[in-house]
Amino acid sequence: MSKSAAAANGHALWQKMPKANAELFALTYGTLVTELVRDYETTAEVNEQLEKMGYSIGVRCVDEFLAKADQASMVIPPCRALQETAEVLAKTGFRMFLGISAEVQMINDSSFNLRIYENPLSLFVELPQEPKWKEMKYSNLYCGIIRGALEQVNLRVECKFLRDVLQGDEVNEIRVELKEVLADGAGEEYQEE
Amino acid sequence: MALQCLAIIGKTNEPLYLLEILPPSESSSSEENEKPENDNVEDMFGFQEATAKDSLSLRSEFMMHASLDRLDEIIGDQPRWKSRTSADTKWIGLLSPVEESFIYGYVTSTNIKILAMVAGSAEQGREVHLKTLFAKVHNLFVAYTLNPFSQLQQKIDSVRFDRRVREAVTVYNQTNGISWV
Repeated sequence: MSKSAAAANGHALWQKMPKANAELFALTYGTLVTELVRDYETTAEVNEQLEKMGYSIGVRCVDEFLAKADQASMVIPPCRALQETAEVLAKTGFRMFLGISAEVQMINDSSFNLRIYENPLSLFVELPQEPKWKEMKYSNLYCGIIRGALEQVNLRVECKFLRDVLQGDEVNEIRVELKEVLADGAGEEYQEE
Repeated sequence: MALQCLAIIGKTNEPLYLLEILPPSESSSSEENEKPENDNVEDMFGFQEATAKDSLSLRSEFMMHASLDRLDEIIGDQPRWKSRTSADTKWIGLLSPVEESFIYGYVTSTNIKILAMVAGSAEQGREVHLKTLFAKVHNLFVAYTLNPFSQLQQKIDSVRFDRRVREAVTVYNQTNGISWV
């Protein structure tokens, strides 16, 4: 589906979703991260835990996404190439759940970069100065969400943060690489009976 | 007329943030220079480490500390608080004239105190600017507190907070006709 259609769908779905207070959301996530930091010793472990949490969120999100789109009589056709998947993820998915729009930059046929300009999770956040925080991927939840969601539609991917605003870069950039298209039940969800 | 020092004091009178602005004629290096003069003197406020941004010159510290007593006298007066609107309850006003400076105070509803030492003569006009400065610093403090990584009740260790407070102070000094900042 085209970019603008994806964006329009995203906007329409966002209108229908129940909203939460942005500060409450950001503060809740912030305390979650600080608790994880207290529980685990290295930042690598914290990143991994955030990714796992994101994964369980992602597997649930994709069903909600497809269900809401269906109720809104929106057609989300099966994606024929990774680029379409990326556009739907960025423009419709992220828009619907977070209210932000992400940009897709295709690297090649099996990987793309997702660029996020404003991150609702990191409102007010400033990472401390010590060196151990350089490895901290505060918004690693997103990587897990993408991985979980795409796995439910039979795409096994790996995601990682390339650039992070909290670490001093200008944008948040996530690299998504397609590892494998899973064969089981491919296309079942999209087939019309 | 020029803001010389700014201090943020916590609930139990522990110092959270201290900033000193010196004019270039009094210091050999840049215009904003925190001098750790009290490195080899016993720390009045009980700092663990006298890093540049945590310390004020000894003289300024004495004056700020003395005005805290006056502040405590004023805010000890509970009934006065409840009758005013929220905008008024925070601003205390002139705490004490000390030598050639004046110290103004501001208390938030969580008992965080902000003190500012301003040089020059007392004028009604500049109190308005000072009130806006205090409001800005208060907002910056709130933003700092909302950072999940900031340690509350401890010294404010944030680069972003420091930078923005300095900008606000620079703006204040400029609108009061100070030439060097």
